[in-house]
Amino acid sequence: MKRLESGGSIRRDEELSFWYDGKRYTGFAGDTLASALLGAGVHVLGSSVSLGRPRGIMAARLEEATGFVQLVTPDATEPLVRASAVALYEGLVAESRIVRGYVEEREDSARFDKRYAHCDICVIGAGPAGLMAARVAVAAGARVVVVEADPAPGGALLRDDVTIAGTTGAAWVHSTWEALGSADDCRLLTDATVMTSLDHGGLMVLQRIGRQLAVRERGGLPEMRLWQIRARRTILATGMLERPIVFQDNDRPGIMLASAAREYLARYALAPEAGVVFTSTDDGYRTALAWHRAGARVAAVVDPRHQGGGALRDAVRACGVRCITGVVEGSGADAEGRLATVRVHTARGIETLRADVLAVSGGYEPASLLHTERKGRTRYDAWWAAAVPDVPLPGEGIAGGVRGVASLAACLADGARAAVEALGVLGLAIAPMETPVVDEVSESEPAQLWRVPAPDGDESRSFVDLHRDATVAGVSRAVNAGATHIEHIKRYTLIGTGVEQGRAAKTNSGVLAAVLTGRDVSAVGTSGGRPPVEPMLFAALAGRASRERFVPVRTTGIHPSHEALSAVFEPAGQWLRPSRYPRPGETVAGTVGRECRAVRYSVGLMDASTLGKIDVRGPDATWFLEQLYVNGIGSIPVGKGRYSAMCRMDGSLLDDGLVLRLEENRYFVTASTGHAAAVVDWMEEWLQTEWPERRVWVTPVTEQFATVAIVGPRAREVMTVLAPGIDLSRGAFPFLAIRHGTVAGMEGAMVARVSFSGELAFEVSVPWDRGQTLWAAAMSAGSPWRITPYGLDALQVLRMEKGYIIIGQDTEATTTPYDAGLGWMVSKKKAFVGKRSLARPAMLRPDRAQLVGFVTEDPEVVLPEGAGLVREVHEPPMVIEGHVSSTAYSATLGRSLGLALVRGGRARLGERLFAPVEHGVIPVMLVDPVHVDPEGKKRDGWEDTDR
Amino acid sequence: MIALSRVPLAMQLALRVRGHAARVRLASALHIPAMPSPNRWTASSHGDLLWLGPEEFLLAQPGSDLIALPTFLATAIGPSDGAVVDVSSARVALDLDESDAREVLASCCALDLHPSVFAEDHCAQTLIGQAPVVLQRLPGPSSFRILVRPSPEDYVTRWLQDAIVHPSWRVPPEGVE
Repeated sequence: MKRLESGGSIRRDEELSFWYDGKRYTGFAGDTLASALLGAGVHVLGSSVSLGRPRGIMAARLEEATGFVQLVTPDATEPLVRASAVALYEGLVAESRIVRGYVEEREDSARFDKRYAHCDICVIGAGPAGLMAARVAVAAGARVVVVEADPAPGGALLRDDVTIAGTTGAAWVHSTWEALGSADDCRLLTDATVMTSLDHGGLMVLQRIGRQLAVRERGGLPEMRLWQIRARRTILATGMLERPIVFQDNDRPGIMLASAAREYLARYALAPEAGVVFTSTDDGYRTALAWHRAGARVAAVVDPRHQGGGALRDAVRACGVRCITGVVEGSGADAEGRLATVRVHTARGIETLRADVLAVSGGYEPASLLHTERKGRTRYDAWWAAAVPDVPLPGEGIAGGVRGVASLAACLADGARAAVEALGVLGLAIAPMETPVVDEVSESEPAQLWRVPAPDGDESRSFVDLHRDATVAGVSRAVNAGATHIEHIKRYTLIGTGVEQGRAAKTNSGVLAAVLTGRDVSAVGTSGGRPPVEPMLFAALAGRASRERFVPVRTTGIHPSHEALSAVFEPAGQWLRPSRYPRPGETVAGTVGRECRAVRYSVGLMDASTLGKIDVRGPDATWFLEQLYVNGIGSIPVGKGRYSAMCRMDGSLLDDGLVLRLEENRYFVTASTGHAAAVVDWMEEWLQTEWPERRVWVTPVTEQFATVAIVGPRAREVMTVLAPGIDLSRGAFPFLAIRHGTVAGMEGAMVARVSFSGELAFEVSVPWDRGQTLWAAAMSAGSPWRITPYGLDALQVLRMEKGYIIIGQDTEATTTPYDAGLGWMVSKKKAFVGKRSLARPAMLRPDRAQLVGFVTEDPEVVLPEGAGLVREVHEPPMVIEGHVSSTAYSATLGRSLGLALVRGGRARLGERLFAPVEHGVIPVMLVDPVHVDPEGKKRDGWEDTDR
Repeated sequence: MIALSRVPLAMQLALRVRGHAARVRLASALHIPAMPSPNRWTASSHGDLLWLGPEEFLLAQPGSDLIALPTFLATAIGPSDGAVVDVSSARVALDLDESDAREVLASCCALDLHPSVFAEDHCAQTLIGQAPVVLQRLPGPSSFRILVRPSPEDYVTRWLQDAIVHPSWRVPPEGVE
């Protein structure tokens, strides 16, 4: 192909440099990378996947099977990009990678955008049918989005010489587009591909923005934008795809679809030195006409039909172009591998024509993936010899070529019809609108020619799928191997498994399979497609949800104080919580040990704001909580709380927490940080589905209250400073009691005497935004006792020393309260969710996994959590007796310890087990889970500080 | 320029109310003709009243902090017909003003906020990014209030600020809406 001196819609005054495989070329503004390569004389783009045959551009749109490149920018690299979908820009760099792309290890600094859009009608495709549909919809006042995959609207009108409403197709497209653009509620997306259509009008659209511009022009623009469109109605107007004909050596660069050849001429002024057209339809003659009118030499039009061609054939003949009745049965190449000769088989014999471009038209078929991927019905259409969408899906309209509508006039009318139908469903008034008058010739019936047999019988060079190097011989092998279903043949031959999903190969492979298995074409069908329509980057899917916007990071109101104390943070669910507060030069173990010692021997404080808090109130509140918690609730006196747990219906532990009774019919319930939302959902589920008549209301108040735990034998002294108005003495404020009063000058603060460390502890709750005030006051009040902030690391050690469990860490999905050592709390007197399951024989088996404590024989070795425990060590496989759920080094006891779930564990205390880990076998001894203060003496503080 | 501002709310109350009679009593106490219907809000004598769910409303009071209000409303509802829970600190209000507010939200919120769909008395529970929020359309051509839990406030603000700093919807090749 060569660039003509004039013509096309390229801007010749703007020359652009680009690099392909390290060599510099030039093209023009308005080129695609594909047209620029062809214009620069680069016809061989690369080698095929398995046979290493030269391949080039064979299409201008979605049919492309081989014209893929790796696009490289300073920001990022993008594999498997269709060259005809890339707008040429100054400095574009691409590499020959037609089948396998690559990704780079470095961070992608490109920006990707994601937006939501909503409309009454989304028109997919801005060809004649789509534009007409959009015009009608906009005139009726509908909110409309038009999505066009090409940078320019118009579809087939961009390549075909037609007259609409007395003007050229291009002029009609321009004026229609302008009118749509100036409408109030019409959004026009070009360079945007609908990647998938979903139920209920959902559309995922990828729009190429910055990627189509020179790097220096991108500015703050995103590379691409993912649109999530929700349309009340969609109108599928995606047109048709052209089908190639299979013959020997049909893969040479220079052999392309006839419509593509016409598009490269009309838009980019690219014409052959000497062209041959091989067509089984009238449409192919349009290419010959266009070439001839542009001054290119047309060697011949080859048509298998004896009578075919009609008015278009006559027009070509009238130009003096030779029309041959026959078929192309092979091709020859030059030294580079480009097409050089075309072998034509006619009734009179074999003739070889010199040609650099062979335009092939094997007919058209609907571009219907967005319909068929959702299992939309199709029917076999004999005229097109293809499956055509039949009954629209819910919310879907189908218009124009994709519905098998042939002529331009009919497509325009069909677009209007589809819009009127959609507007009718939406109840929008329809403005009358005439379909523009079109001047076009009628076409004669296409021949059903898919394949020309190889003259020498060697079908291993007759390509069905150029992307996958799959040939007629390969399909024969598949059938001979017993594959008859088209999906089996697909998987045997890999036809249609490339990035382009074998769009140009599917029908041909189906027909071939039908012939080889002696069945009807309509019975074999074609293999299914799947989203996305074209390859897309994961980065584009993520859109803006990356880096600091990837997932919500939740922080407490006291977070700035932790930062000021140089805390080390860790994620706990979505929360960011302090692990520890290291001092300069301190080791991790040193920090954790110091924080633990402070709590055990003086006083520490912790931000417990993330604890789930739920307000439960109403006349039936007590009844309701009795149903969900395993222990008695009604017996909790007002002003006191109880440690409790809830089960799922299968008797497994859902969560544990405190039930604090604030008033007769009002409770304050706590839940684990990670289970707070699940517990609220659990309560609401029961209330909404089983007991809607019960008068109880559940309100999550986690973020209403900041909570600071003041913990340790000196906690009472600190609290005395903070809350002089509250009687904190052991007698007046016993364990599990709640008091309201003024703390740190804040009225109405709630103080609860609960403990997750076994030490004397006061948990103080104030409004969320007052948390920092409370924290600062506690730090100041505790300074005489060197009050020490502690984090999750120390908390883990402290609670483990006491055998306090964390649901989800020390329990599994089947662990019951009995297994976890919480059997003492299970009420025998009342019914609760999960109770019946707990009585089932399997729940009572003595060999269930039960929670135990353990110590390592070597006190310095800390086992990894999750380590398996065995009775005998030998070559794997070994019988696993249980696993380690929590471990830590206890500075208080000066040894490593932990918790484990062990088969029949509670009856095995004192037994020696082994943990085979990466660097050896660690012997452990099973012990009671409570390692520190088993009598619970420390809970109320030191005797000598009690008043 | 788009303005994102944090608006102080003196008091927020989670209101739960069951039954027609209690709804009428509560509406009367708030000096409104009726409780708002689903996904609607109304201005009452004691602040904006937003429908959050069946039997569930949020009263957001921007003015002075009325200590007696929870008790007053709880009395109106009655002890057996609902609840009033103080959640004054449980959400913060972020107001998004000016003409492009809808475009900013279209970058992080899946709801259709077109004035014909999300009118001036509309509100909804939705997501900004992945964070749950209550979105309230404010009077004016294009103003919204985002009621968000304090813990993901930074995350939500980052989403909005990013859209404000990169107003790419203004740039061609995209058409106008």
